[in-house]
Amino acid sequence: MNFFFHTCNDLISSVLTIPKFQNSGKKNNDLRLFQANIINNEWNIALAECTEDEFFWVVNSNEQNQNTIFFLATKSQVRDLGSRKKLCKFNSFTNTMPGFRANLEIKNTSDSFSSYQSEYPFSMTQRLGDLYSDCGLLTTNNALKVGVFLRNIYLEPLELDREVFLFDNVSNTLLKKFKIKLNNTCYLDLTSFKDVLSGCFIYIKNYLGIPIYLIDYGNKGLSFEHTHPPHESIQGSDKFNLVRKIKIRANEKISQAIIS
Amino acid sequence: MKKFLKQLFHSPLGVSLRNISGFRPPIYLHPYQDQFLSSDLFIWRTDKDIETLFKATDILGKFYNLDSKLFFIFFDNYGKLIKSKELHFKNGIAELLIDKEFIGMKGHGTFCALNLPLSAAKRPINVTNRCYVGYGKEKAFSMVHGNLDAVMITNPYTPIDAIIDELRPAVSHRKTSFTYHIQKKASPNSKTSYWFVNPLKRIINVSVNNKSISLESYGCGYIQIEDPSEDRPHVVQSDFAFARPIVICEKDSIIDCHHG
Repeated sequence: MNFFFHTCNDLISSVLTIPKFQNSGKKNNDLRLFQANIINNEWNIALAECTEDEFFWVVNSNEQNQNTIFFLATKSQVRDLGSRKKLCKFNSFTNTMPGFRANLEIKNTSDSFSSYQSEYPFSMTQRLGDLYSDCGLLTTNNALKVGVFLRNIYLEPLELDREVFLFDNVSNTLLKKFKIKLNNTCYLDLTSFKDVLSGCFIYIKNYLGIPIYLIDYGNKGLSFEHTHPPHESIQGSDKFNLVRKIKIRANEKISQAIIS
Repeated sequence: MKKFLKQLFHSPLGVSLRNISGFRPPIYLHPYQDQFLSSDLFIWRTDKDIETLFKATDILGKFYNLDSKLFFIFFDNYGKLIKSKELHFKNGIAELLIDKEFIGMKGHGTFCALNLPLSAAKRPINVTNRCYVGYGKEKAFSMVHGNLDAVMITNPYTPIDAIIDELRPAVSHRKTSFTYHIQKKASPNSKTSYWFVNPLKRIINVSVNNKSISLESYGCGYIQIEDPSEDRPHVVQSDFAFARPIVICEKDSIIDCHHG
C-alpha cells in the first residue's frame, strides 16, 4: 500500500494526480480517495477534497493541505471516519509490479514545471531509521534556487522535531543544522551552499523519508527528483551491513564536527 | 524439501526452466549472478538543441572502499556502437555532458555506464548503480533516475576492450505480451512523448494506443502523443516484459522528464 503527498511553499505550487487504475488496467470502482491530517495528536481521516474524472483524482495544493497525506481505500476498509491512533494498511491495490505511480507536478511562479511520482510505501511508515542522501547528484550551482523537500510519513501521529545535518565531505565541515518535523513535508533552502553541494550529504537520525531535490531555473525550467536510499545501489546478502557502515561513518563525522 | 525447492527455483537451472516453461519467469536476471555490474540503458538526446546531463555516485568507492571509474558505451537509436569513454569520479560524483559535439550528431540514442573497480575487492561485487540523467536546453536540466536495470557484465574485472562483447541484458529476453497503462494524464499544454529502450539482443515491438515502433537491440525510439485532450489512459503494448517508458513533456524551452 502507498500513501501520496504533495507540497507547496512560496516558490512552488503543486498538483497531485492519482490514477484510479493499476498499470495492468485493473480498476476497483469501490475505491475512494481519503486524506489524513494530524489533529490533536491523532490522525483525522476524511474523504479527500479533490476533483475527479473516470480515471484520476486530482488534488491541488494550498497552505492548509501541504502536510496532508492521501490514500486509496473503500468505505468499508476505512470503517469510521474521524480520529485514530495509528495509520494502517487498508489494502494492497497499489502493490503492483511494475510499481504503482501517481504524479506530483510542481510549478514555479514563471510557469516552469516538473514532475515526480509521490508514492510513499506503507512499509516505510513503520520504521524510524537514519536518512543519508548525497546532495551532489540532483543539485547544481547553475540555478536560481536549489533546495530539498524532505517528506516523512510515520504511522503514529507524531510531529516530533528532528535535526538535519548538512555536511561537506570535501572540507570535512558541518555546514548547517536544520530543524524539521516527523509527518511533515519540510523544505530546506540550500541555495547559499550551491557551490559546494557536489561534495555534501544530508544526514538525519531517527527519521526515514524521501529527499526530493528542487532545482529552480526560473523561466527556463525546474528539476524535481528524489535520491534513492543507499541500499538500492547494491545487492547481496551483506548490503545492509555495508549501508550501516556508511551511516555510522556519516554519524561519526558529524559528531566529531560538533565536538570540535 | 521446501528449502531445496526454493534453492532450485533460484538456481541457474531453475531460472532457465522458468524461462522455457513460462512458469513465473524472472524479469531481472542479475539477482541470479554471483557478481555483476549493472546499468540502465539511458537515453541521450541532442536533437532540437536539447542536451543530456548524466550524473552518478561512486558506488564502489562508497560501499566497497575501492578506487573506481565509470565506463560508458554509446549507441545510436538503431543500437549501432558510436563510442566508449572512461571517466573518473571527483568528490565521489561523476558528471558528463552529452551534447552534439561530444556525440558527433544531432539525434538520440542510448548509453550505459558501468562502475568499474581499479583493484580487486575483498567481497563479491553486486552493483545496481541507478544514476541520473537530465534533459534540457540552455543548461536547465530536468533530472530523472534510471528506469530499469537493463544491461550488465558478470565479471567486474573484465578488461576494458572486452566489455562491449561481454555486455548482456539484465532483463528477461522472453517474448511475452506486456500491457502497461500509463498512470499519468497527458497534459494538453505540452507535447508528450513516451521513450523506450531495447536492452535485449533481439528486436522488440512497442505500441502506444495502436501507434507502433520496432526497436533494434540497444536502440531506442519514441511515440509522440497526438491528441493529449483524449481522456482515456494511454496503453503500452509490447513483446518485451518491461516496456515501461520515460515520459518527456516539452513546452517551448521547458522540458519535464519523469517515469510514466
